[in-house]
Amino acid sequence: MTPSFKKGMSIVEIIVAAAIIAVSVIGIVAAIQVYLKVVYQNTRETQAVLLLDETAEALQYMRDDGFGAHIESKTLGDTYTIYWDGSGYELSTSTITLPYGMTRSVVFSSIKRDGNDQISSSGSTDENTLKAVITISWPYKEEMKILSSEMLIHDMYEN
Amino acid sequence: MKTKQNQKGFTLIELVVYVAGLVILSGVMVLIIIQFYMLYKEIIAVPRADRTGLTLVDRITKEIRSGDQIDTLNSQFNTTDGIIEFDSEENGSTVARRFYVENGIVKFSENGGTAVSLSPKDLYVSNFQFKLVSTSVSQAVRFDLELQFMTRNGTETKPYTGFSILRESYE
Repeated sequence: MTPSFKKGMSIVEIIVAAAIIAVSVIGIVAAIQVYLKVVYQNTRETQAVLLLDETAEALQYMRDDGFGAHIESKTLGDTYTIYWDGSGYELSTSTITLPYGMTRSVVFSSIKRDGNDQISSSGSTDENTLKAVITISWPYKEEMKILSSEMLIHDMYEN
Repeated sequence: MKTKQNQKGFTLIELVVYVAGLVILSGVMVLIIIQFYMLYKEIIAVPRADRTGLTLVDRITKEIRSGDQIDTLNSQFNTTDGIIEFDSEENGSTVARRFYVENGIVKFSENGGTAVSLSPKDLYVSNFQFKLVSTSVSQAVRFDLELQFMTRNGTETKPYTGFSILRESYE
């Protein structure tokens, strides 16, 4: 703004200014969206860790409650999921989808022990120990994110 | 914007372009505002409830897991305003820990001392339930939590769950 009345902002200047403001607003919105996606993804990962934790704990409960009935009776290689039946945890082959499209699966496999009773790739099959692979998966950007862990379950209480 | 010369001024085309630019700009602004408004639930309320819920589940299940035994007399199971009290060994002495809900806020106290709030005031805890699970060799607790909060669609409820076997309960 100058005192001269002949001067002022031209329409081109206004358009340029408006364009700069628009571009910066769009940039800020894009940055916020990236931040929100990171927060969303971060929360899902925390949730997945807790689901994994609960699944591992449930498997241990099933071992305590009855290794034969809960775990040994299941088919090796099949995909199971855990569910709460009101008084305890059970394994089921049906798919249970949790909030945010999250799913969890448990697959059992046998393990072998060598002559020194150490777990190895060859040797005789240990009838009282199973390996459980726990997998938590959830959708993210057209693909599935996966968190996986494995544990050994031994019939230590011979039940 | 006025000049002293009456012959100068905006031409009609300039005005039309200006108004068109303004319309487009305001349209974009309105779209952005609508988008923000629609995303509000996602932006603030839901992640906040998730963070609170997951932190509470993590804290409570870990505390119970490190416990020796559940004080069944002072605990309340299978109700939506449940109480869990358990003893933990810490540095050679026994500590009684208690989680409960009061006016929709999760509280924690040690040895009957001053209670600390673990959840914010504007997230209403509508379910705070413990279920005692016993096997022949161990004791476990299932924990169900529900948080209620307001969104533009009304009240929303989110459930969170934890499960812990008391490590010291094994014989």
